[in-house]
Amino acid sequence: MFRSLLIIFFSSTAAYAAEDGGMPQLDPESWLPQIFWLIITFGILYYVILKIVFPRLSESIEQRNDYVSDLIDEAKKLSEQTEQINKEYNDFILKSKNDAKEIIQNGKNNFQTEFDKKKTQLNEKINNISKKSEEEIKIFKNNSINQINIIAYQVTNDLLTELSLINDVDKNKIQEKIDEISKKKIGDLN
Amino acid sequence: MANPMQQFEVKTIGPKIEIGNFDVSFTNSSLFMVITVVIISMFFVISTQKKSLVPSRLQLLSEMAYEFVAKMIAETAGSKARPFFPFILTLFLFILFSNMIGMIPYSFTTTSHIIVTFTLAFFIFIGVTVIGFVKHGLGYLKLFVPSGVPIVLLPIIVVIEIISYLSRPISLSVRLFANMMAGHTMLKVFGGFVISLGLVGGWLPLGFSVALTGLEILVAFLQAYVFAILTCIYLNDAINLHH
Repeated sequence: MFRSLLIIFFSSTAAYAAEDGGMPQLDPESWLPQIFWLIITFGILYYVILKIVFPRLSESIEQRNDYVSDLIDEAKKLSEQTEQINKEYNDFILKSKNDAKEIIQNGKNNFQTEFDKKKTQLNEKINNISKKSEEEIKIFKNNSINQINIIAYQVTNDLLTELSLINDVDKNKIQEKIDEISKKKIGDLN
Repeated sequence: MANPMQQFEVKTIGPKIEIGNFDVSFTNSSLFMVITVVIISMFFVISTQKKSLVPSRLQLLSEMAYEFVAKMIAETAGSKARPFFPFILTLFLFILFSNMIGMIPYSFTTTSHIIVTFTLAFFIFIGVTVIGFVKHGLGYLKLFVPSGVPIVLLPIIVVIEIISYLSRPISLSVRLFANMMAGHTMLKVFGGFVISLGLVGGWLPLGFSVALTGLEILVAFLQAYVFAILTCIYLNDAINLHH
């Protein structure tokens, strides 16, 4: 039925195809086998692709995409970690710098205080020593004057005795004179 | 000169096969369909046997074909067309390999026959229409009523839309068939010139033949691509329905 319809419908083209130089494509005789084999071969190919090729390809591509996206995720995580560590490192360096500055400043301060303290102590010591020395000198000076007076008196006395003039001279007067001279000399010295 | 149309003749191979009253004999056309299917199947089954993470060359080729078609569908019809992926892939590969095998001298180009391309296009047309009505019911008829058209023009536009929809299988099939037939005819004609002009004048048509062969390989790929992408666009109309 179908075939006879086709033949009636395309009889003109079929006649044309039969001529030399016509288009074999328009020969309805050849159509049915082509449709039949097209359906069979295309069907087989579709079945092969649907059941074998498509699942395999989509699986392997999906697997690869999963793997790649996993790697990307991991890389992102690692990069974040690196950033964190880098930040910590920078913070640590900054803190260390500040600490070092503080330590240096403290050291300077301590040194200054210690230095000032030592300086004052030394000054005090020097003052004490010089005061003491001055006093000692004073005492020594006084003592020396007395000694000198005594020696002078003694020498004068002995001298007068040797010259047998002692009885003519008042001993107190000698004393007085020596004191007077000594005072005058020391006054000149001072 | 040999008849350039001779190459398109369908000849029965072996005994005449009949199912009921219908002649379904095995022909040279059938032979090349079988060869096409065998080559595609073998290539893809072998190349995808080892699903290695870093693909081998063959695996890479098959994955490139897969991703090429996947991208094509995703760009034209969106993610909802995903279930039709194996069909589009089959369609694209079948036409591509048929066209390419047809480029081998003395072979037969199955897609140079209108009945083959029309069967494919008609099947797609019916399939798309069925999908459209199943997805949207009678709402699928809105496809023929473009939005934003003045009511006065609507009767004319709807008629034009219906005609253009109905002519889809014809334009789809004729485009592929005519391209293949014209290309092969032209190659044959220029080949004939080479022989008839002989050693003296045959060089020019020979050069043309070489250039045309390159062009025909391009056309073979392009037509397979166009056929597949138009199918995707029709599928998009049926699935997403926005006109």
